[in-house]
Amino acid sequence: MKKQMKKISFAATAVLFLAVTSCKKEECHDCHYDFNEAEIELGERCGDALETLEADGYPLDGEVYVVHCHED
Amino acid sequence: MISVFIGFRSFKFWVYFIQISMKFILIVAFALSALSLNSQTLNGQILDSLDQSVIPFSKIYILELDLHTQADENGEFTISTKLPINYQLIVSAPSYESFKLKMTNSENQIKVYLTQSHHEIEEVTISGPKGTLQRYNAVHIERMSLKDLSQIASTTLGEAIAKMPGVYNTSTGLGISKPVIRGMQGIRVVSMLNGLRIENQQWAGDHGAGITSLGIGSVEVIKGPASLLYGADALGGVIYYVDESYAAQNKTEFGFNTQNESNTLGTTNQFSFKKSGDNIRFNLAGSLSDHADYRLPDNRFAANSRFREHAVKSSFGWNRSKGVLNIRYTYNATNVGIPGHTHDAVIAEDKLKVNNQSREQRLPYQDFRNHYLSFDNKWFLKKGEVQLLLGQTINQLTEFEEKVTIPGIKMNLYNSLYHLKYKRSINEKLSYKVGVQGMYQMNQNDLKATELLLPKSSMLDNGVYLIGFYNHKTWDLQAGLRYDQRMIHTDKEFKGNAIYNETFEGLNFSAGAVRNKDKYTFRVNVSSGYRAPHISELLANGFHHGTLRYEIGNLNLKSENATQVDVTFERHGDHLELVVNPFYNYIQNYTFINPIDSLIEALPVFVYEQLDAVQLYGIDFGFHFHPHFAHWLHIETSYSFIESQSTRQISLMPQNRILSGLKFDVKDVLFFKSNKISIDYNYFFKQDKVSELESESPFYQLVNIGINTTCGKKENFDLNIGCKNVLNTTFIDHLSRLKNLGLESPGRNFYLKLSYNFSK
Repeated sequence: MKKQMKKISFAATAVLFLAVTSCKKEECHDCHYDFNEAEIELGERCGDALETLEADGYPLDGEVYVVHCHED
Repeated sequence: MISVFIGFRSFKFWVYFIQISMKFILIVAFALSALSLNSQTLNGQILDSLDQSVIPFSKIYILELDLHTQADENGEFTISTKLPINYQLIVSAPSYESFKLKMTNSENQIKVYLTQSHHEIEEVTISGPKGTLQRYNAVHIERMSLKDLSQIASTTLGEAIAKMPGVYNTSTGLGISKPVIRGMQGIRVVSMLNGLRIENQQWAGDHGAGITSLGIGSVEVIKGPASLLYGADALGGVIYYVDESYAAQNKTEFGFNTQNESNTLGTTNQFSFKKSGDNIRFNLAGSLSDHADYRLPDNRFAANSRFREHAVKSSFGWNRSKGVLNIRYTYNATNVGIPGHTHDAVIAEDKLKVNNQSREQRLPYQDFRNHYLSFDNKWFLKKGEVQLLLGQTINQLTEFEEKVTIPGIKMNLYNSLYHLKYKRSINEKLSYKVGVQGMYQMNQNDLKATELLLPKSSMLDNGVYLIGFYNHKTWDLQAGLRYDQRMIHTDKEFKGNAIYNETFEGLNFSAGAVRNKDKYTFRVNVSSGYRAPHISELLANGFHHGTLRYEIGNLNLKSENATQVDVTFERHGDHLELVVNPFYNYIQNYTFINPIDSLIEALPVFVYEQLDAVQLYGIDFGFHFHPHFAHWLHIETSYSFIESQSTRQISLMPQNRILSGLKFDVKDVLFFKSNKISIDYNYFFKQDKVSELESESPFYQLVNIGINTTCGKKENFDLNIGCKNVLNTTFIDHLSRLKNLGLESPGRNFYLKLSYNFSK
């Protein structure tokens, strides 16, 4: 019974671990900002760079533009 | 203990008390769990009461241990395990009436005689005050196995349980659905998973049920107030999900199934592994589900209605003569698009209905993750039993609206629960149950989110109850009383509202009687329930993009109180079963969310209000006709009718409906066995009783067809093929949250489900 319980405990722990942790591949999106009713493309951004761009916006000529990185 | 409850009202005191009590209880539980004695053996045989012939392969179930086995071809069985001093043995077989027997562990040989019957196998219900066969419950409990609910396959669990009488489904596309019982939904419906309360921000209409079909064996529904057993919030009713049983004793079972659907190009794949020894049992299961945007009847697609889910479930059981322990863990994660989302004042149809089907994640979408962990231990005493359930749930809700990396809303909900109960038989006729139950809940905002819809808050529930049971000849009586207290607390000011600190109390009861005589069951039950206002109703102040509105709470809300009378008349004939179940529910201080004539950033503003009183009444009626001249035919119908009355019309009242089914048992053909053909015809009446700014819904009808068969040498393979919405009917259910956008429900949907089950 001890061996059986050990195996079961190990399997249950492995499952729990796999369920709780997750591998997330880096997320990438094409981003743009709006200027004079047109979309100005900024190209693809990924991971931390993507997050920073969305949070801080895109600075240009003293102005900061809201960036959109999602499909409509 | 009781004087402590009444005397001390400090919130912090209760937090520390719960923490210390749980540690103490855990230590005691593990100490007691260490006791163990040798296994006992029960041998038996199942026979026909008429001619004493053997009944092969009948099922034998020990209620207290949740342990089952199957008799062999000679009707003989052996159970070798640590048996409680007193326990209930339930024996069932197709075409025979289920039989319940009270046993003691000193008996090691038994013969059980079953009476022939045309009835379907009667199962034990767990959610009621007394775990027993359905007909002995003084509370009307609707129970169905997931297998029966899936004769015509469902895409989600929500769709499956909406086939039960009196139960509906409010949905935002296919990926988000939540149950509605007799017109009540959201926080008025408590969902339980093996006794563990599911808390998943269910206050919002766009938040799903928080559970998948993985590993679910059956669903039990208590309709109407059920606060006696389930505490605050169980005003509309309780949906109680019961996991699949462990494998039969000393068996290993493996299962895999795959379901494919044409409408969403969707797949759901599940596996399960079960192993049971004499006293140790283990289950493990996992599932993956992926669906693209659903296809409309006109062959366009509902934009961004895609969703994917994955889930894992494990449970561990250990029987000892002094008790039984179950530890269960479930994790599920759902990523679901929010269809129909727009800030435009005038919604362009090509934003809602598109020509290309896609499944790639896009904004806006919701991400739900749920963890459910429970520790459930029973100790068997000479004349009774003690049960302790400790649980922890974690719900993470994230809504991405405008940014792909920065959520609009992100909240974490932590819930710690306990339930300690003692059940004792005074004599053959009289028994009682007493219990204490509570939970500590904390809702936290992740400050990374751009919106704060609710403040950070804590909630502490405690309740104590007493229920008595009395049996007199053909009558089973039951009555109980319960006191609850709920404390709600916020840490700091929130958008102009001061720190909130309030205590709500509720005193509730339930009294019922059921009589079983010959082929008839008569049941009457009066029960009450209460629901304290939720933090979302009190203090909401922000955008809720999932519901396309700006929500404002109301600090003046009072607790809701409901009292229901429920009567059931059942006839269990050999060829005709009939159920007539009228009800009347009176609710005071009914809370609802109401649009006001205002817009904030193009979204309508809604505020929480209350009505002094609302009456809900109606009837669930059903029959099952199994003619003698055509034993291969089953005709089943259920009719659900509900009306409301108040000073103003209540919104989101479900359409009255008739769910009809023809089921044919077809002879074996080549290697296809146990063949069944099901044809469902569902009629939904128009709904013209609507509130201000709510539109009426026309009637609609749906036809679904399914074929089930089993094949393979050991009948290991099950094949289930069919089509839902065969006529490709264009309809929008009244409870669909996409109704106001004119976004129809899915069109025709072919499905194919293949299952493989292996046991040794």
